[in-house]
Amino acid sequence: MKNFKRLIAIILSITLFVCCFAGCGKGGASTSGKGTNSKTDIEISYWNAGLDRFWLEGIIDAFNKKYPEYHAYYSASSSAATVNATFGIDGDTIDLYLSNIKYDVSNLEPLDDVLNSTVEGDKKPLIEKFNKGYLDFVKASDGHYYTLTFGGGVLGIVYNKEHFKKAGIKQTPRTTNELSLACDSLNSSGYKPICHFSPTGYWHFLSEALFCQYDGFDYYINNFYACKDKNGNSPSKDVFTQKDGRYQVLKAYEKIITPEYVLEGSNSVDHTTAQTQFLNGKASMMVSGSWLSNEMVSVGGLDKFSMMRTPVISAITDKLTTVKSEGELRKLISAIDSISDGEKKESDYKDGDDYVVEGAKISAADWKYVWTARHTIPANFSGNGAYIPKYSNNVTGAKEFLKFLFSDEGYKIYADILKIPLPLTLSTGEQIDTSEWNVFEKSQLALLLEAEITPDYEIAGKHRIFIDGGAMAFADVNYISSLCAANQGDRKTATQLWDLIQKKVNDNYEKKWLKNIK
Amino acid sequence: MNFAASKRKKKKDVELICFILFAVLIPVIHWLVFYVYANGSSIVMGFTNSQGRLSFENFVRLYEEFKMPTSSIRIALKNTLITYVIGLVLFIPRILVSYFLYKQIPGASFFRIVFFIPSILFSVCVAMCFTRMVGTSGFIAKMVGDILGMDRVPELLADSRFANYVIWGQMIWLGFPGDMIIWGGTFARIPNEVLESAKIDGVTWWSEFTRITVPLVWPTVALKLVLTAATIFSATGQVFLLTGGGYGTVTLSAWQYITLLEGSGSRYTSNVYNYLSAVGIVMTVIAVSISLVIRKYTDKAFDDIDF
Amino acid sequence: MKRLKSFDRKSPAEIVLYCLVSLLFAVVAFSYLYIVFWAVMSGAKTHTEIVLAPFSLPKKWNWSHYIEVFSLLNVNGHGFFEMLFNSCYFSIVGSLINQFVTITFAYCCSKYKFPASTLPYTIIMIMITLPIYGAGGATYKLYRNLGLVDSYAHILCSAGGMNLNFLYYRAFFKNLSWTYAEAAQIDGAGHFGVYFKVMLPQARPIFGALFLLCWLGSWNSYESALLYLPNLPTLPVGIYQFNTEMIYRARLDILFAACVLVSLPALLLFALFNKVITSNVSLGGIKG
Repeated sequence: MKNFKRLIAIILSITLFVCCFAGCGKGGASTSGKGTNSKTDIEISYWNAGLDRFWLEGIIDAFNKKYPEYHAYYSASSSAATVNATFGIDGDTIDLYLSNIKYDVSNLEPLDDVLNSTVEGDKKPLIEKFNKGYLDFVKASDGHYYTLTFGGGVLGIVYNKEHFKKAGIKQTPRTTNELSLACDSLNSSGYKPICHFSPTGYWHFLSEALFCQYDGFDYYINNFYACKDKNGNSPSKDVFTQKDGRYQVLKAYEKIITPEYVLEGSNSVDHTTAQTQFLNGKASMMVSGSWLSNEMVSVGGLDKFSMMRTPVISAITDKLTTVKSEGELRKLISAIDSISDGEKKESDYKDGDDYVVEGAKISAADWKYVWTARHTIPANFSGNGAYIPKYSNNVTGAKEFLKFLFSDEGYKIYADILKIPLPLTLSTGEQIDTSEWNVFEKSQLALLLEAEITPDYEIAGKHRIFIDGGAMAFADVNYISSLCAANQGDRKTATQLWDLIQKKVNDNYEKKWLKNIK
Repeated sequence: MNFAASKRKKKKDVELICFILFAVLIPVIHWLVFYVYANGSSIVMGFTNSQGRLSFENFVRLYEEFKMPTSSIRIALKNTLITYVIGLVLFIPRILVSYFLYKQIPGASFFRIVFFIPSILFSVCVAMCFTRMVGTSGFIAKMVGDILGMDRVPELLADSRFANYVIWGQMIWLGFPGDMIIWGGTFARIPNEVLESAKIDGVTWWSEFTRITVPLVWPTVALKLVLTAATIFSATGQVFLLTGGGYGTVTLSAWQYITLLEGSGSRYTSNVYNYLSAVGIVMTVIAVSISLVIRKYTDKAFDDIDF
Repeated sequence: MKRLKSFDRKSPAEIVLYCLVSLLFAVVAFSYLYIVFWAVMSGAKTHTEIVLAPFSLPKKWNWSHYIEVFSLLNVNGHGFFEMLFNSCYFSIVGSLINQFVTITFAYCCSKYKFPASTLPYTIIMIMITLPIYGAGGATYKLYRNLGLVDSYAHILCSAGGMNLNFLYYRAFFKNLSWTYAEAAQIDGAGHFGVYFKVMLPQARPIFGALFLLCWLGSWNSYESALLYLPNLPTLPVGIYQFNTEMIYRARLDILFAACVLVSLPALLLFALFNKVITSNVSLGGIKG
């Protein structure tokens, strides 16, 4: 027995020993060549969340070759908290953060000069290459830009084309009511319509888009997220207590995110588990983003999937004068889509200042409202932002790095490796080469290119009550798992959730949110 | 005493003082700093508000939160007490595990080794495996759903109907063998002669257990009970790893830890833990009272114990 | 059928009882072994297989994952060996320091009479029976102010002697005859000599057992390491943080392979020293 135990111990030791040496030399170090000179070194701290490191290593290699006077290197972590932990503290040596730091602009270097510059080899300045909708969102309340995105991409409802075909759904849902009907068709055909992950999936991104669709971009940015009421008072509690687009989002979700439609386990799994289940046909739709392809490279199979245009919130008819029914709304959206798809032109629908769609007169204001709503696509660009600390020892170098990343040369390397679009075009006007992209990857690029507004969860112009105060649009109520909880005791209706949100606003507005503002 | 002897005595005295200081200084300083100062500082923090001024604000906040039936504190207290009772009930099977191993049941040597596995493996790893095993893709969740006649496979760790039971079940499953080192040693010290002579006298197993074994080990049992009573508010399952405190599973311990973690690192400010300290003061007052009462009735155990 | 030795001189009722208990123990033991097997099996599966069919056997056993772990296991720039070093440093060295300080303190208090020599016993009895809660925040603040957060100096926190183990050591030394010391003193040994050369060696068994208990607790501990040493990850903290990375990469196979590999050092130690760990060292007490 003693010898047997000795034998086990020896076998275990040898196994460990062999594994160590077998794995040696295969790389894996997160820091590539740490330098020592703070004037030429560019130290980058990278939040590795789904985009992996290869694109960054490709950019760094190309940058170091092109600009030998600089030496860029990086360290990475999958934990944003770990990456952000050093920001703003004494002794921080990071020159460039690629992460999701909250907008505390007091410590950030403005990037206006980066945007206004024309990089060597490009034909126009960066500001003209970036998507205007993205720039509008990323501009801080003082009018400057403090971040530019390195990724994140766009989000939307990704769907399984085979399931849709087998369920007889010929048209991707144009409105949220139609989305609910699609869920019903899928469910009847034996498919689980939706899956997400704990605690809210990516639904909160879609919520922002639907909220923005309902109330319009102006209200969304200049009122709600500026915490300014209609009378111009800021901060104002009325902004939180008003039954605005947030309430309509809950009402819309009430018909979609139900226990019958949501895949079991969605409230308890992590995001790659949910994505794995989705890509293996366990559910027909999932709100996900551009990173899906890259993050799930080990699972694959993305050719069966596509990202649909963001459905328009059906309650938008409250804001329209000439479109009052769901049917009229769908027809209008179809007309708008036909123009985006290149099948028709806007002039085909014009009638003087107004429009006519299948015999129905649509006012110019309504047409524009719905057009904008249909071209609103949620994005996660600011959640993956490049920031330069004001106190960096090499602000110039960090800026040069960013300019290179967004140059035509840099963007081509980026897109080639990641197959995810940034909200910019090439300076020559041509598109990036997508010949090697799969169906899903191409679909999300198409949506970004036609987008006019890209509501971002991390909004630059947010009032400080959202940044330090802790205020959130839905007051941190987990409405997603409450809507689809299998347990009747945990389940809540939209109205109950709204009441809960109001209670949280009343409990926290003065005692916590206002007090926490720096 | 002559000069040489006096010098030798002085040297010995110096050596004695050095030795005593060597032995005593570090633990005493450690205790003064990390126990006395830390706890004293915690009491002061409990009476300090978020603006750094002395006040009862934290206690008022605790009271307000405790008044609400659905507040985290109330749920945490309820879960903690249930977990504590489960721990107390588990006391008996844990002693019995060591007892039967001591009695050399078939396979005792094998069990003695395997029962150490939960202590050897990282609880983080065990929790990760366990989370996947009770997920909706596995047979355990499906079996529970079938037994309860549910039309959906339950999300055992994300459903407030089940999450607590799963955590308690895991606690019982992994904690089943108990503290085999302590109890094994206790039973091993029972003199064999006593048991042999009882056997010769024709004593049955039950009589041996109730009239010989139990009385002999009672001091250790009493001591452990008293020590367990003192930890009433520490009782917790693997809440942090399995549910993060969600779905109605939070315990006082888990709540404290999550609060500590959320306020640590770059998020730390000097007043972020004041409320935590206030809650601790209230818990201490209650736990000390309970402990003193129990101690009163089991005081004799401490005198009886022979290590 | 040969009668089992454990059934010697047992009544039929006892035999039935023993068999039932063995069966119950076997079920529990099997479940513990199964979790180890499950982790090994999952480490050899693909990510999709783990997600969709967690209990099925792998279609193909991918042992290469166990090699891939060493290149992929990297948390905040710390690889497997750095985390192993941190674990060993804080658990082994920390436990050694803790036990040495405690045993020395207990020896001194039990064998020497000096002012307040009986006070530690009373204080410890009060400490273990009258708990104080909520000091976590104050402790964190203190550690931060002393520079013990995210620092190898954190090991100083282990140098405490006022704990439950003091009672065990004190009891041991109280029962140990002073004759040994007197004999050594006659031979010219001073107090240090008596302690290190005569008394301490006799405490080897109890020291060993308590050290192993202390080490086991500290080795497995992730809560304090996650809170106080997030940037000096030990193995359990590393695995906890690695979990996030592998979820993002959709590589649960690597995660479970890593779980198995980081458990190997402890399993190895247990395989070598299980007799010491499981032997009935006199830590429990009986009525005197």
